Amino acid sequence: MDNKWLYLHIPLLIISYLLLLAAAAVGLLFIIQERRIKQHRTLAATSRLPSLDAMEQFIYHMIFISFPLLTWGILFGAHWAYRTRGRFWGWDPTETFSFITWLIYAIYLGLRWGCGWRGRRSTYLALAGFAIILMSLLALQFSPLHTHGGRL
Amino acid sequence: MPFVLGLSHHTAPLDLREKLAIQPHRLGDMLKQLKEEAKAQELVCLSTCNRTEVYAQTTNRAFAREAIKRLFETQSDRTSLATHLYYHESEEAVRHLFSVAAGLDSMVQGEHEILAQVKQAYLAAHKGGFTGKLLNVLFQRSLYVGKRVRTKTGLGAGAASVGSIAVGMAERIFGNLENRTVMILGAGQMAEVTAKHLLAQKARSLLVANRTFEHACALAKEFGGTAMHFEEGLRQMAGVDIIICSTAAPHTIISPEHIRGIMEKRKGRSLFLIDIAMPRDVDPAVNDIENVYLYNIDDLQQIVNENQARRSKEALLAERIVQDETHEFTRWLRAHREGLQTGLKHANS
Repeated sequence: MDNKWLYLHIPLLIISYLLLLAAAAVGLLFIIQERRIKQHRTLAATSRLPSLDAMEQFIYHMIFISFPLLTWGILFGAHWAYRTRGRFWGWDPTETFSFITWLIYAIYLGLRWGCGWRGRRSTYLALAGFAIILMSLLALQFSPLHTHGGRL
Repeated sequence: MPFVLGLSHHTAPLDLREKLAIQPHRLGDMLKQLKEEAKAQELVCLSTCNRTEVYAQTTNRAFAREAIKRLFETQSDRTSLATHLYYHESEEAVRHLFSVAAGLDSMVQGEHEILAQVKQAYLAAHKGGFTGKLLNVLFQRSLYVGKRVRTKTGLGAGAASVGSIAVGMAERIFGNLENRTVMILGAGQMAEVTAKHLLAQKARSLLVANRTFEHACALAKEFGGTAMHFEEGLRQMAGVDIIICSTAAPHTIISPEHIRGIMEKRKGRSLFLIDIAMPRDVDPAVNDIENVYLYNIDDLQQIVNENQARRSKEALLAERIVQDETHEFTRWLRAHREGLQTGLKHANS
C-alpha cells in the first residue's frame, strides 16, 4: 500500500513541471521583448506579444501556483522513500537537482515578496529553475534511486 | 462608363468640406435631387468628413457633371468650386474608388473606417434604388479590394506620431493604461500633446509639476489633474508609472541615483520615462536601471520614421493591388458592354 505515496509524488510533480514550463516559455518571450523595449527597438514582429506587465504577472502566477505542488510532490516522494527504504533523502542526482529547483523557486518568491524583485532578474531565476528541472529529468536516467524499471 | 466628381482633403479646406458633408439621414434626399437634376441612371454619394464624392453612370456625362457641380456650388454658397473639384471617368474613376476603399487616399493612410463608409454609402444608394448593374458590381468590387489590401498589406499598421508612439510603448510595458498614473514634469507644448494621447487611453490621474506654478495650474486644469511645485513633483515620482519630462532646464535634472531611490520604493514596478525636453532632462544612464524604460525624443522619432518607411513600402504594395484590380474591372466592363458573359476573377494570391 506504500505505493499510494508514489502515485501522489509523480502526478504532482508532472503538473507542477508543466506549469513551470509555461512560466519558462513566457519568461523567454519576456526576456526578448524586454530587451527590445530597453534598446528602443520595436519591430512589428514583436508588437503582438502581451505587455511586459502581463507576461511578468503570468510567470509569477504560474510559479505561485506550482510551488506548493512542487513542495508536496517532493515531500510525498521523500515519505515514500522512507516507507520503502527507511530514509527520507538519499542525495542521488535527481534528488539533488530537485532540491536545487525547489530552492530557486523559493528564492524567486522570497525576493519578489521581500525585496520587490521583478522583471529581468527574477525572470532569469524562473528560467534557471526550469533548466534545473530539465537536468533532474535527465538525471532520472542515471539515478540509482529513481529507476523506472526493476527496483521500484 | 462611370465617372466620379467630388472633393476631398487633398483639394479642399475643412470649412468647404464641412459645408458639403451630407448627414446620413439627408443622403436619400440628396440622391433624389441629384437624380432629378443630373438625369443619371445610377448614383452613389460618398460623404465623410474628408470627402464628398458622387459616382454616377449616365449616357450624358457632360450634362450630369455640370448639374452635380452646380448642386455642390449652391450647397456651399460658392460661385465656383472648379479649383477644388476633381473629376475622373472610366478606368480612372474605377481606380479612384478602389484607392479610396483601400485607404490609400485617406488622410491617415490605411485607416479602416473608410471601408465601412464606402459600404454605407453604397447600401444607402442601393436601398433607395439609385444603383444599377454597373455601380452594384463596382462598389461590391471596391469593398473586396479594400478588404484585400488590408489583409495582404500592412498598410495602416503602426502609429505615426511621437505622441502615439509613446502611448504604444507605454501599452507594451503596462498593457492597459487604465489606472496608470501620469506625471508631466515641465509644462511644454509637446508634453501636453503626449499627455493628451495617454489620457485618451484612460490613464487615470495626471500630476503636473512645473517651476512656474501658474503654468502647472493651467495645464492641470485643462486635463483635470493635480498641479504641484517642481520639487514636490520630484518627491512624488515613486507613485507614478509614466513620467513625461519637458522642462526648459539647461542640464539634466533627473539622475540615475534619484531614479534608483524611487525604484526601491516602487518595489520593482516598471517606470516609463518619456524625455521630450531639449536639451535632455534625464540622464541617459537611467535607462540602464532595471525595470526603468527611458525614451527620448530621438528614440521616439526614430520609431516614427521607421514606421513611415514601412508604411510607404506597404503603400506601394497596396497601389499594385489597386492597379491590378482596376485592370481586371475594366476588362470586365468592356466585355460586359459588348454583351459578353464574363465573371470577375478573384485573385487567390
